[in-house]
This record gives sequence, structure tokens and C-alpha cells, in this order.
Amino acid sequence: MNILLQKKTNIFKPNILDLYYIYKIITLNKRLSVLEYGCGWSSLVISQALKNNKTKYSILTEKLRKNNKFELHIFDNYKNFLNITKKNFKRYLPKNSNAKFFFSKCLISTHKGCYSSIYQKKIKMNPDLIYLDGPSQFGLIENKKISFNTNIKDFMPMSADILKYEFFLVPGTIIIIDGRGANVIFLRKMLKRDWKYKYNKSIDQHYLLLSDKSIGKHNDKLFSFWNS
Amino acid sequence: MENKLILPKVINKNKAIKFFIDNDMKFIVDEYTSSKKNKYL
Repeated sequence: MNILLQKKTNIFKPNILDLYYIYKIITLNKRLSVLEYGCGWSSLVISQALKNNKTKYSILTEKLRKNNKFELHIFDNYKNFLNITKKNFKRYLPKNSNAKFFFSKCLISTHKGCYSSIYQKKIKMNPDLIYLDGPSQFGLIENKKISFNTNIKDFMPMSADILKYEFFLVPGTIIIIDGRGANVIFLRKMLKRDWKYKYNKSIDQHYLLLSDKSIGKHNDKLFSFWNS
Repeated sequence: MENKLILPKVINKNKAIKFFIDNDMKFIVDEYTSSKKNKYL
């Protein structure tokens, strides 16, 4: 998002209903690791939700074959926003150590011939929940081979990151998308696996659940945990 | 085994505010109700 545009709007204030739903979905669905695109107040709430899950489920999940348990990985292409979020962690949640911050440039790219954006830095976890709230359509790095940029106000953000690693996600993975209606259409057209979709119109939040059958015994154990 | 998404019950803003206060996240409510805009993300 253009910084000047953000200052004109009230976008820095927490959206209390959005945050409530994010927190509750993480706790009700017993999520173990979250990948967040685009930092903000949501980062703090997700961190708290994972901390809550750790308190409740750390013993129950000891034997699950899953790395980065109760961790939040945050990607953003604006250093200043990452720094503000880090300061907010120090100010409000100084005891939380489960959030890891990744600054990454974001590039104009294509996915199957369609213009989109992609973070340059690779992800370092296989999350069971992805919260997609970034990047904005602005501030992307242009590609000399692609004569296109989303930085026109009437365009919209079009993240393709999840498409690149979709087949590594385990059944049961949840994606929450904050707004980004056009991006949701793009993702739903391009995703190849069996995703169930729900939309909460009142807060403009989209939900996708990877509904494929279990891929094996480790996935079975995760299902047992989630359903216990 | 069933693969399901559990969504929270629909609530209003006042209940969300109470939820954050009750769950050690009063800072969210403070920032939400604060007149100091744009100071923190």
C-alpha cells in the first residue's frame, strides 16, 4: 500500500473484528504454525493465538512430525512496517518469542501467463495456516521482461506465492485472505487441489481449506490432533 | 477422517472488545479506541 495513501486513511488502526476472527480460527482449529504475508496488528494477535495453542497442546503435539511448531513467520516488503511491528511486539508482547520476521523484496512476476507478484525470499516452514494480507499492489520490483506493474490505483494486489508451493501443503491447511477479492478469484482459478471456500462478507474475509484426503500416516496423526 | 474448518460464531464489536480485554490483549482495544492515529502499525 502506498504510504501516503495509508496516512490519509485509518488503516493503521486495528480492525477489531478481523483480528477476533483470525485469533479464533487459529485456536478453534488448533493451528501449529502460521505464515503471514504482510505484517501489522494481526502479527501480534496471531502470535498470541499460537502461544495460547502452545500452552494447551505442546504435550499433545510432541510426537507429531511437524517442524516450527507454534511459530509465526512474517513476510513483508516494507522494512519500516516490519520495524514498527517489531516495536509493537517489544512494547505489548515482550515475552512472545515465536514470531520471526523476514524482509523480502516483492517482484512483478507471471503465473501461467497471468501477471502477479511474488516474494523473492523463500519460505522456511510448511504452515498449517497462511494469512494473506500482503503485499500491496504498490512497491513491487519491476521485471524488465514483463511490461506490467500493478502500481496503478485501479489495479489490485495479485499475490501468486501460495500457488508456487501449493503441492507441498498438507491436507487440512487453512488460508485466510483479508479482502483482496480479485486475488482470491485468481487463486481459486489457479489452485489445483481440492480447496473448500467460504466468505465472511461482513468483514470481507475469505477462507480456504485444503480438503484433499490424508497423504499418509503423519497427516493422519495431524488430523487426529485437529479433530480431538 | 473428516477435514473441516471451524469458524467462530458471528459477534459484534463490543463482544470482540470484551474478548480482547479478557484474553490479555487490551492493547488492541486501546489502539482501536485511541485517538492517536497512525502512531503504530
